[in-house]
Amino acid sequence: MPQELYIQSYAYVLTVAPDGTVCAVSENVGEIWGKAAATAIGQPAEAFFGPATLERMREVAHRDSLKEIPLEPDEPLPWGTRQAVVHHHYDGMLLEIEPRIAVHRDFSREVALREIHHSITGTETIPALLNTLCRRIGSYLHYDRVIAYELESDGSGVVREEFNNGRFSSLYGIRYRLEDLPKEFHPRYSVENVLCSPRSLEGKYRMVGDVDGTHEIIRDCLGCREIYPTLDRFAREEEVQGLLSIALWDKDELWGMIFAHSRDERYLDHQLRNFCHLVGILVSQSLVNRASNQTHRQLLASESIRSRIRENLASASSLVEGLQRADPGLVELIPETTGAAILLDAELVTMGRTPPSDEIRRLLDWAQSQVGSRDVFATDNLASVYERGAELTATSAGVLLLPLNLRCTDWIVWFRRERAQQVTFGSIRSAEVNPETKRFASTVEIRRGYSRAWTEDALDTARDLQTYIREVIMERYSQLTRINHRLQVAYEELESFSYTVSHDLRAPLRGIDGFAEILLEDFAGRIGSEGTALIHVIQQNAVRMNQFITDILELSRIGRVPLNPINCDVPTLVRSAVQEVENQVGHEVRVDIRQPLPTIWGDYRLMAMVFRHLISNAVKYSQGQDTPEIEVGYRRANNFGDGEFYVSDNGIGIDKSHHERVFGMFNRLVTAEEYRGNGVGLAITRRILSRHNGEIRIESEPNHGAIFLFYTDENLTPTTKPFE
Amino acid sequence: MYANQILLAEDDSTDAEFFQRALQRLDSPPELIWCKNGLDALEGLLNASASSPLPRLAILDIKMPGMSGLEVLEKLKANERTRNLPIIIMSSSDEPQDIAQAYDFGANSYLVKPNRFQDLRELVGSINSFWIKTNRLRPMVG
Repeated sequence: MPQELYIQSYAYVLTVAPDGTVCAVSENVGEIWGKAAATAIGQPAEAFFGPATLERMREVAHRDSLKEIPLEPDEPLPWGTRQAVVHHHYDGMLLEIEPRIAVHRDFSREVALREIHHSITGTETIPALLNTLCRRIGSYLHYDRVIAYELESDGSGVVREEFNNGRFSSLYGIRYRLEDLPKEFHPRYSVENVLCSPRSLEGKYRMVGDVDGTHEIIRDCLGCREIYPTLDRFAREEEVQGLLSIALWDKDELWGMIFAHSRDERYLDHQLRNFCHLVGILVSQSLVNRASNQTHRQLLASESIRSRIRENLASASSLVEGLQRADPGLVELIPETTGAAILLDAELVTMGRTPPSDEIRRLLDWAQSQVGSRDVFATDNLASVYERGAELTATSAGVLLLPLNLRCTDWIVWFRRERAQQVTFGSIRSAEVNPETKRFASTVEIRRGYSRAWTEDALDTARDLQTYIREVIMERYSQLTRINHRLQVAYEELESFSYTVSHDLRAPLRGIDGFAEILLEDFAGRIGSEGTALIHVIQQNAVRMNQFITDILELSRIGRVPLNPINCDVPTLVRSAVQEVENQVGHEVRVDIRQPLPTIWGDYRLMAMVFRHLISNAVKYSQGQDTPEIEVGYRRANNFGDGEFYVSDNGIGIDKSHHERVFGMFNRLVTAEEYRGNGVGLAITRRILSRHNGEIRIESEPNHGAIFLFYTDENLTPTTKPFE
Repeated sequence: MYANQILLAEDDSTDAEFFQRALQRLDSPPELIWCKNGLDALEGLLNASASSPLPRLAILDIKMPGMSGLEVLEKLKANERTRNLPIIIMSSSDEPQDIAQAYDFGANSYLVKPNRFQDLRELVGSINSFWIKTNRLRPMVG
């Protein structure tokens, strides 16, 4: 059921169909028609207006002009001194018949416009502009009180400037609620931004007839359109007889209104309303320009801070470090903030006064769903949007959230603490409204849970930083990717190089060792015992070299083979390692296995190599002791399942300064004669463990034995390609 | 009729001499035909006839200039006349993928070149006992 349409009582409205008949009228037309309004439906337009008038109306409609048409004394009906405002729709017309002000206005519109324009350009600040505007409207149009009302993001608003000749109380600084100017009424001002209501004529009239297709025009565009209920109530309670509102727009959003009130009836005809419309547009334009100039000036002022921060970021070794540097720090970047926090790679760093860390994490978790990765989220009243906000007002009644990455898992947050304000509202709370009591009475409230509002400049500063960080991070990320790639290529080349070299080295080695052997077999008699001894030296060195080659091959292989991790039984690994080492050294080896031993997660072959090398190492370095003691066990680190396996010996130990060196290739800390073998074993071991995302370390002191501790990553999955 | 010969395809002359000396230590060693690359070995074997018959056994190294030992192996096993010739791949590589590939192509055996002369002698002795003394190829026709 379409809603009923109403118009104010000072005008008459008729719609004329393309065929020239009247299809809808406002009920008060009945008074002029002489009979019930319904009977006017279907009558030809000629019954209401003379041919000359109709001709002019059609012309205006056709040309889509705004010109008013004064009604002649000789019209078929007694319209009086009225004029018609023609609204064109489809091929029909919508006629608004309104009183014409016969008395000459006491000001020239053109001069007034110039003066207002002068005021606009002559004032520096928005408050000054609004103040002048209110004064001029008051004086040109004879209103007793003119206020400039600015809307805020939550729908409430505040009276910023006021002109008042004393006939009304002051409304300066008073705040009104969302319910007082509900958002659903904003669109009524988007085409026709002026609404005028002379109140001495009570009441409103319904449209009767076929209003199909004309709803919007009647509701939003007619000068005599119905005023919305809360404004109506305000006028009644305040005893305002003449009411004027001019809407001011900031692009597509309502910035606020100019409201003018008079104690006496005040009516503005179409011409005057056009004047107000122009003023509204001029001022809106200027408001927007002025706001952006202000932003621009503030941007320039904060530019020095921004560039210092950019310097810090560029020169720091990590993003977190760069952002954490003080002077100027993040907190100074956005004025009037009391704290800030950075969440990067799940690490949280806070500065200044902030909520507790776990609350920040929870907030950012929620924030993921609130903003896209290329924008910022700001509120000066966190409690109104976030359910835990009420508990955090002390430090964060206001927050400005800046996502740093695509998935919105990295953030910078600024906090503003609560600023309790004593606010005078011009209306009572909507819950308490009832028809008997006054709705528009002053109420003083303490506004809680609000911080200072975030200016557009603050948001722009944040956005600026966001772009910059993104560029920095992206640059580093692609750098990193390039480096990684090059590293991978280099690694692959190295491994294939090692493989080839080792194989190619073996052939001449066969030549050396093998032919030395032939020499011994066939010519022992002729070269004597000294010659034989020399040949033995050749052979020993060939054997050593062969071992080197074997070890390099082994090392190079580790990166290349597929990794197949399973739960390996450690005692089994130890036992087979012991057997191999016994074969190598030619005597029994005793290893003490300390239970309980969990299984180790890793590729079986590679884990076998680890134990073989570590036990072989332990044997080598403890063989000088009277009772060599080698132990394998597990040391728990905490109650969460973290721990390390270890192989320990009571041998000569390793000095702390050499702890890192032992893992290098071919590094030996003692002379070769005392301890056979070469130093690749530990390099191989470390490589294997790093492929398992684990680590190996040493606890040792000279002459106090050594403990090698290591672990693997339990979350490792099988890989088929190397370097994964 | 088959000549009492072993064909060795090996590009490294030290390795070839090593093998030859080991072979010499056998009682009544078979004759060694040495080809320095895979192509020569392949041509020689494919052109076998009544007057220049196939050897008892071919031993191929893998890494050789031009055609690799595995390619030669593949071609020999694809050819009607040389299909049943016993072929041993002898390489310095002990990589599992090389071993697998050799057997995939039909090698009869895969041996890793020993570094010590003593070990090579033992190996050659085994090869002689198994492939030369005991193995009888189907007589060539024509």
